[in-house]
Amino acid sequence: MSDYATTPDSLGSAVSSHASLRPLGGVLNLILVLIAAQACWYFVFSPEGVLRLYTPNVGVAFVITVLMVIHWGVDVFDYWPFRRSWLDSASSPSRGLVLLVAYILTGWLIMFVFYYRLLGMYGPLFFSGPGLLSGGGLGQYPQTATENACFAQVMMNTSIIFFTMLWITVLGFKPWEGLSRFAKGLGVFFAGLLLAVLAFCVLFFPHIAYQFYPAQIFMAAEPWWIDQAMTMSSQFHFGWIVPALVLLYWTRLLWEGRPWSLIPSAGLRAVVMVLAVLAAGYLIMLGSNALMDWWWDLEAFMGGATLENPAWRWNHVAEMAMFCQVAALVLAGYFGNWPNTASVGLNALVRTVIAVAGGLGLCWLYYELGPVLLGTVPGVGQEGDTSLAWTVMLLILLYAHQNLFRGWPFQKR
Amino acid sequence: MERRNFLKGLGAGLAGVSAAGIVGPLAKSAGAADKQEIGECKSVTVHCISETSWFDSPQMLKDIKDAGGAMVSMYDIPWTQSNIGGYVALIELEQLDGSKKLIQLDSGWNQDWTDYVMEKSGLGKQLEEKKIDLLVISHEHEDHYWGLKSTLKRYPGIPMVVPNTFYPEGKALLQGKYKNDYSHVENDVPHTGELIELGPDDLYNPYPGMAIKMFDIPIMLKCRGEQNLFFKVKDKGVVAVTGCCHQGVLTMMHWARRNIAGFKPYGLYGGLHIAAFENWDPKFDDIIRGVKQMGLEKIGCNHCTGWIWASKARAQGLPIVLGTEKYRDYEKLPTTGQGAPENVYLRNGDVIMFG
Repeated sequence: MSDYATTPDSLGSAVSSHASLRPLGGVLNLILVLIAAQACWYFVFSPEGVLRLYTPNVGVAFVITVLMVIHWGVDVFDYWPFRRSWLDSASSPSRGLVLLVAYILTGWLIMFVFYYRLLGMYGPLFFSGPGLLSGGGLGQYPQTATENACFAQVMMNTSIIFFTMLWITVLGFKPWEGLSRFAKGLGVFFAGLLLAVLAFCVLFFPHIAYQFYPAQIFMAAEPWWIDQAMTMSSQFHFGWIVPALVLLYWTRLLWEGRPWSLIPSAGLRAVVMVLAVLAAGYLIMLGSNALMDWWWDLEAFMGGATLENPAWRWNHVAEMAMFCQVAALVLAGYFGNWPNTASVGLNALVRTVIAVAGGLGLCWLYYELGPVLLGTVPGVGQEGDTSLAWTVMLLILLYAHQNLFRGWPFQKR
Repeated sequence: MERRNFLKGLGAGLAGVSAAGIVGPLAKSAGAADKQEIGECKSVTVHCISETSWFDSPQMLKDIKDAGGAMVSMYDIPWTQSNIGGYVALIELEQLDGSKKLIQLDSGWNQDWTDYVMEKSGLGKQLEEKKIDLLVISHEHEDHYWGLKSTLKRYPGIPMVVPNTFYPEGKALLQGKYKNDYSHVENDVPHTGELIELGPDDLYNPYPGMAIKMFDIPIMLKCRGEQNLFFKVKDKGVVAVTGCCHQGVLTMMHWARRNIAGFKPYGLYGGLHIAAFENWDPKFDDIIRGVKQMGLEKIGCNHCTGWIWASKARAQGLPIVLGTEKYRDYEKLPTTGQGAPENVYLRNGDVIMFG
């Protein structure tokens, strides 16, 4: 974990050890994870299932919270408070089960206790369904209050994930790398949190102020992005943050630190990385919207609906980025991160092409098979619906399987 | 044609399913370059038979929430029967020669309520006397379609136009073969008249100055596809009449601008599906801005528009037509909007004329 930052030393891929794994084990494991995903979908999300959290915002907020906790637990705190000796000696299934249950439980506590019963009851009400309901007023009904509160949590948690991963990918555990895993984890935890809260205030808070009637004009500025985004909705920001987050993931996962690791100066590398990732996320958002114009032969416009709804378009960029991230994890975890030639640049390029193509293919499968397997309505652009529920859930399962369960049972490490 | 369909068409080969044209008034909708001429009419008058699909929004939302949320199938929700009404509108189309056509839009939900408003408005008698020329079902949602029996028991042979995207339950309801005691929906009177099922590439032009367009869109509560009516009023412009308008008010009007020859924005009537449950979202401000830019002259809204949206839109200068107090004569009253300084909805019993 101490080599997490992108440095010339980190050229060895975090997943290169997978290359030697037998492909059959990867395929069998992937099938296993997909079966588990279907079972999880039925249990957690499905309208015909048990918990039925596909409201959809409650379910989306829940999986994003769990993803955030897993990042904290694995990437930031290096599995603290679990003892190293237990982590190394425990069998993969028991280790995976204990860790996954602990992270899911922590996510549940954050969402339904911290946000719902503490922060949202004694501070900003908009994080809590019951908090919003306590004030009463037009439009504050259990269903709408819950959906709005969960969306606010999604905004905050996405911001936390992005800035935490940005810090850790750019700087690693600097300036706390010499401390214990808890202490240095705490440093990154608070650094990511600070940046995330500041970003939340500027990028998402204006949306929340204007999601009430009348608008809470003394709470925040009018959404300042409207002229460019064609919408007052903060979904605009998901359009660039999520692709930028995926680029951060890919720095380690697919690119073995390239191209940033080619910059020898640590300070310059950090500045270039931050600026380049933000700029690339923004350009991906604009380019994706142009592609959608071409694909559907329709342009989004202010006030448009479904495919012509700018807010949906920006969110769909995030959805597409997550499809690609799922494909990248599958490639890295189950197919040995192919190819593994001597040329890191070539490896990175081919893996990126595969991840993007895989993401597009996965997207196609989602919309084609979703009505049969997930119970979604045929078509793209449903009001209030998002594929992020399924992709983030699958992302968690893939990540947990590879890192918490160590590829059990068909990929032994 | 959408580029995606064009690519699919290439894949299908030269046999080209897309080449299968439909003759007569049911025509393939136009590409951007060749707009459709739908003719003109003299005026359009819309009678609000019932816009109260539910009387209490919190109860309606509770039913949905308790069942698992907006992605649950409407056929799997045990709707609170005392809270439901239905959506029905009667449209009088006056043609240039002075003759009239009567079109019923949607068939309500709760059968007792639907029977009640049909009798109160006179629509029930008109159906029994077969004076209604056409029944258009905007979409499969419970509040627009499940009261079908109230119409069919009076006039089983009524010509109908529906989206071609109904789920099997919706098709069985039309055939008089559906009963669901859990969600309380049933019909044992089969439809015996002409049935036209519109696809997304069709534009149905049954009478001069009127066209029906279906949008193939996914909709909450497991519904798919919605259609609306366009009227081209001579010397005035195009009026859109909607059920719920899940396709989006501006998406609908922009489609008309791109595809109807001589388009000029004029009016709107119906549910506009914006703040359907009286909650606000910054995207609703976008719609106010967009509708202002569109330049409509007359907007009569109700049902799922959201009282909150209509109020804010009117406050910001949109031409929202105010309703009367007639709705207070009905045996049940909606909770929304009570005590408000002005009635921004066209409610049960109200009438709006375009022309």
